[in-house]
Amino acid sequence: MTYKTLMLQIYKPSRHKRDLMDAALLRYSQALQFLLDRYEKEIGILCETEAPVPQHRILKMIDKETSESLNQFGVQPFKDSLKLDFAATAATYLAQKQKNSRTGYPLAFLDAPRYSLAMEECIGLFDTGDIGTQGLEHRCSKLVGKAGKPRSVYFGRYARERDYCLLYDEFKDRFYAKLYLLNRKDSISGEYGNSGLSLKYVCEGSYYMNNLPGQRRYIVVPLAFGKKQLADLKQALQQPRLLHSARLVKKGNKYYLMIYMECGSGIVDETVTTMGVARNARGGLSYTVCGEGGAVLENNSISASVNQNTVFYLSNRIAEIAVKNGSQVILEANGGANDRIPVSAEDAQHCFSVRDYASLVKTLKYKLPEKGLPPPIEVSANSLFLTCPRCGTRTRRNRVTDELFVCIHCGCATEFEWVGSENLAKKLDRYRKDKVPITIIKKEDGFLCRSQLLGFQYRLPPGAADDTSLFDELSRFLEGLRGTYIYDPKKYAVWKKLSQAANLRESVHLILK
Amino acid sequence: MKNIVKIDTYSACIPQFQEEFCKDRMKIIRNELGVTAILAGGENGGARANLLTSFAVRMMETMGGGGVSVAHIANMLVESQPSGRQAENGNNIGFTLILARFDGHIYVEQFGTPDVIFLRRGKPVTIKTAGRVLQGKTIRSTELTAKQADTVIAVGSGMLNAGADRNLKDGWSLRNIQTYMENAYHPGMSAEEPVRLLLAAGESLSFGRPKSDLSALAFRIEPSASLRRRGAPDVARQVVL
Repeated sequence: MTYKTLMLQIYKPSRHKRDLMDAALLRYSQALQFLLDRYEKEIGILCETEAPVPQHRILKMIDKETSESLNQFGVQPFKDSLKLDFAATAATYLAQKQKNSRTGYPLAFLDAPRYSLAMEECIGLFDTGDIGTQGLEHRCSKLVGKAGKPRSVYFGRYARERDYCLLYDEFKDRFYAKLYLLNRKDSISGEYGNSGLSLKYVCEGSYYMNNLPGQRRYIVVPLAFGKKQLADLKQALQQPRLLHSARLVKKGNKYYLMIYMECGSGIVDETVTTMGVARNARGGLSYTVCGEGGAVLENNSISASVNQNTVFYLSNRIAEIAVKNGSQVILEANGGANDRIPVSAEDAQHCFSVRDYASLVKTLKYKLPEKGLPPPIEVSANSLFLTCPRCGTRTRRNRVTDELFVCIHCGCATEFEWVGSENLAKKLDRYRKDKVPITIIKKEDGFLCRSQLLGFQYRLPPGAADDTSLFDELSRFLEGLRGTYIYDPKKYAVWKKLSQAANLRESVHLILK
Repeated sequence: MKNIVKIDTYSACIPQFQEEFCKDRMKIIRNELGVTAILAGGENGGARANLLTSFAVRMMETMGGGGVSVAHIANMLVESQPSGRQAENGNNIGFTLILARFDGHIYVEQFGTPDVIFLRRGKPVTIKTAGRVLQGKTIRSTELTAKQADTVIAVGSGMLNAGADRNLKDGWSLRNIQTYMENAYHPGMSAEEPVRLLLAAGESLSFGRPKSDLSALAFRIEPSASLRRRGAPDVARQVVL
């Protein structure tokens, strides 16, 4: 399932509504920080496990007593969402900690006492010489930036009578949001103010909102947005199930509702070609479309003019070209860092940056499914521009000049402009053809056959006439892994490749050592 | 004569797209003096290039044992070519004539073809070229002494046109070819390898459809003392087209 984020501005809320939203943001942030503080020790223990920690395990940590303690913050309207947000934050922290031990414990809200403590600690480190002037400046500016800044309120579900939902005025063609921010104690008396409106829920059945007198725990706010968002909201009117969770965010003096919306029809067209999209040293992007067997069908470049929003323009163009060719789009992972793109001094300022490329990847992840294509595949970009698209030889010596690539192994020659995109476009084909290596080591009592990555080991008896028993055992081993959770992504990829192979023997490369 | 070098030679050609045979001609002759090779450009007719190379081979066979220099042979080849208006119309056949002697001396004579590339242990070496004018035509001469793992590479004019349809500022220039050869060099490289790589690169740059013949010729010369240390057999190869 692919999602995109719809960012809708809350249009000129009144003073009263601003106060209510500010109060909700503050209470939510304090409650989240309370949970993080409460379970810091338990999360620290989970850090020591090597396996990934699922969110539901963290959710189960919250006992009844702690759950009731949350009521002191007045977060009853979004308590369930708060717990989900806490579990997600903790799980993300644990995943990052496993990769990088220096990852800091998450901070949801920096209140005044905590701010003073953190500042004192900074100054203390500076006094003892543990950090220099630059380090002190950096840490202090971070603290000043975070001080008192509220966390966004997470609405875990789209519902008429809780969390949040959208309303539509069909006469004025306007959209509104209904946000449940108040608990019973703080509820507002009286009916919803603007009785001139007749608002329909954006939901199955399209019910009209009942504007009845009595206590209410929600506010209704008008929304402002652009043409693209309007088109998405109109689509949501027809298919309300596309709307999922949301966040209430404050940026400066403005408030926004960020809605997570499913994109695409869910029906994915079959792709017949692959399209590699790589950075271009002279600005913009280069793309290559390859057909079956890696035959190059098209090579071209795309660039945006100065006035255009580069990333969105380029992603729209890529989506158009991919639809035209029925392509599976393949992109550089990590924004293309380490791709060794050759950039001359005069082109340095024009080269498409790693940051922009990473934004492009995020955008394409929902733009392509919107068009009925599968989401893009990200592949390793290490030395992409030094790798021969024909034979795969990877060396700096393949570079003749900043613009000319000639392989020292097979003589394949082309402009550097196309090397990256062609390598990307051919990756899948190459991956399919690559065989999984199994090492065979001669021992006194026969041959030891193993794959360390898979964790597979088998002894061929000394008198074995052929390797049939090896492949039978390998098949059994692969079948045994089916249904189990394989934590290692590389192991999983190899298992999947072999278990889906039409002919196991042809997918394996036996290496005698 | 005492052999102090081992000479390995190789040449090959890829014909112009949709042509069956190359118009460029190359011949390699081995005798007691050393190895001689000639590369003649076929832009102005394969038959004429063929005649020129056959003429050169004859001269080398009949005069080589008498110690006649390659410079003299080059002069005769140039004198046999059209002059005056016909020369102005570009009817001359360019050629590169290389003699590598077993005593370690290398002689290069060129007319109308790209300069040869000389690598010593894989590093390009600038060579001094002397020019002389004969009947209004300039012949370039070079004389070298083989030292360690020398490679001499000659290409036909068609090779430099290979990158014409590509979006390259410098194109597939001689300088780029030299850099490529330097990159591709490794200590065990034979004479065949640089030739095959150059032809593959030229064909690749032409999108598989070269607009003129792509030809290359290479000499790999190693002093015998180093060979004796390595225990390598003394084998020379030649490809006669």
